[in-house]
Amino acid sequence: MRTPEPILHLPKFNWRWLWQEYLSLLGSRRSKGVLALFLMALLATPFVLEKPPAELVHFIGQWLGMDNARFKLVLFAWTDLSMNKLAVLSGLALASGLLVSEQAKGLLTLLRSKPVSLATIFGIKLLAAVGVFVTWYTLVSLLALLSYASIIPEFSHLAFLALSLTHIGAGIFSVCLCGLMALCFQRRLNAMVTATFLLFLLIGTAFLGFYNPHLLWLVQFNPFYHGVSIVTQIQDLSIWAVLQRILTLMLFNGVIWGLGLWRAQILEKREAF
Amino acid sequence: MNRLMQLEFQKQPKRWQGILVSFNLLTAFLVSFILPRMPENIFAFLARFFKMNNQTEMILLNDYLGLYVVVFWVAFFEYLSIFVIPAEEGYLQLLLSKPLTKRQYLLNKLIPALSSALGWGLCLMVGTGLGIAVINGLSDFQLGNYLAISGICVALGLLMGFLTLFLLLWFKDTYNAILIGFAVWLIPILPSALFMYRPDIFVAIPWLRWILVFPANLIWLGEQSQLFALWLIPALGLLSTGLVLLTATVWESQDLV
Repeated sequence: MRTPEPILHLPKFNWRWLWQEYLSLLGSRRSKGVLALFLMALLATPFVLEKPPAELVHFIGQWLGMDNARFKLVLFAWTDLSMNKLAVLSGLALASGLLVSEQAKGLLTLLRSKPVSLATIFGIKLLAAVGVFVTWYTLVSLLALLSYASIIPEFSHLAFLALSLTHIGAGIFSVCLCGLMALCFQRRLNAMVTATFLLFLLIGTAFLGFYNPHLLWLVQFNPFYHGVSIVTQIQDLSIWAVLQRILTLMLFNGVIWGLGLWRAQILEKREAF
Repeated sequence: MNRLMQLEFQKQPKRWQGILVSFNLLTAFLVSFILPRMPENIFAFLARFFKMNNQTEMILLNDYLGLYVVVFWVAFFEYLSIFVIPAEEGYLQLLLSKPLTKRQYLLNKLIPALSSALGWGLCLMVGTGLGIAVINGLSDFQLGNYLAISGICVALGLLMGFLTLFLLLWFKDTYNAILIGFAVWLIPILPSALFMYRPDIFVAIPWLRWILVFPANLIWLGEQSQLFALWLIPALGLLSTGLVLLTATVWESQDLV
């Protein structure tokens, strides 16, 4: 009896290849550009948040909870003003042309002459892009963690750490979605336009559930909501609350990553590239 | 009109642009519909921090921003196919081997793309205006102000698009181009966040808000926005023309394509 063919073949990983791919992307001009923007956000945030007006703190307190509203505003601004936008930008700059760019430059034929599947190439390149994003995000979050306590009053290391740990998952979602879009459209411009639009829609509505609790059901489908929702619970942080969000976001990212691999297999069968 | 420009015009408008504009229009309608139904404290918050007098102004603030965003991105993604993508894919040399200068090639590709962005801007302007008239009513809506401010937003979107095009001369691959596009696009809109978080700066330096708080500052101008648009739009147009000519000149002087 023939065993049915699995829908999804997990790619075979060559760690050395992944490492080289990561290093080459890390040193690229676009990766340095992303880092520069991350560092600008790091430097600008304390200035922006130096003297928030009392009414603003009050309004934020109404939505996110009154206790420690001043620091919640810091977390709100950090994610809404900088990190969400940088997540979108990182996705676009690091992954929105996966495989399609290689094809346009004529490199894909060369890559495909090796004994690896299209899904493996995609999987490794996407992981390298995620790796570069995680590297810069972690670096900037650590710098913020070390330096902001002396600049921003009421800074809570634990809350900031919890937020960074969950929000990084939303950023990874952005990178994965950009990679998936590249394969869905196989044309960079269309992929970039769609990814830009979808991601801006998601970050634009990430806080909708706080403004209007009737819409909480809707934002459950938005990974950026799960990336920021820990802000409401910073007084009684529990490992479970953080873990729950990390797992949710891992699920989102796993699904997108799997869809990407699946799409790569379909394209391979169709000999689309 | 020469053959190249004719062919380029035939490619416009493109389907993705239509989809993007439709989605933006849909978002504008949604905001028109949702904002009056939001809890009172949201409206109080937005009105307080952006100094808006009524709901229509609040909705318009969002719509003007959308207009700038759409015009910029439609133009940007079209400009990528002028020299960034052809250079990356290795056929720019071939295109430029034809009997035309870089300047002619640039203008012949640019004008149809620009017309498309402008056309979509106008469609969005009309659509959004109609949306407000139908959903929110005309009691706080002044057509003259609306046309003037929308015109400024479109002109600014185009100018920032040209600035990106100029910078792309040094970044001829799509990934880097999108980084540059993103950064330039944020220049006019990011500083307005400062108005919300640091009003003390704007109290200390009152004129700053007239420069930094786009597009709310255009709404604050009220009736004066019409007179303002009469000289600002031509000024932005002049700057844009200058930038395009500079781009052509610099590109001509670049050794590599």
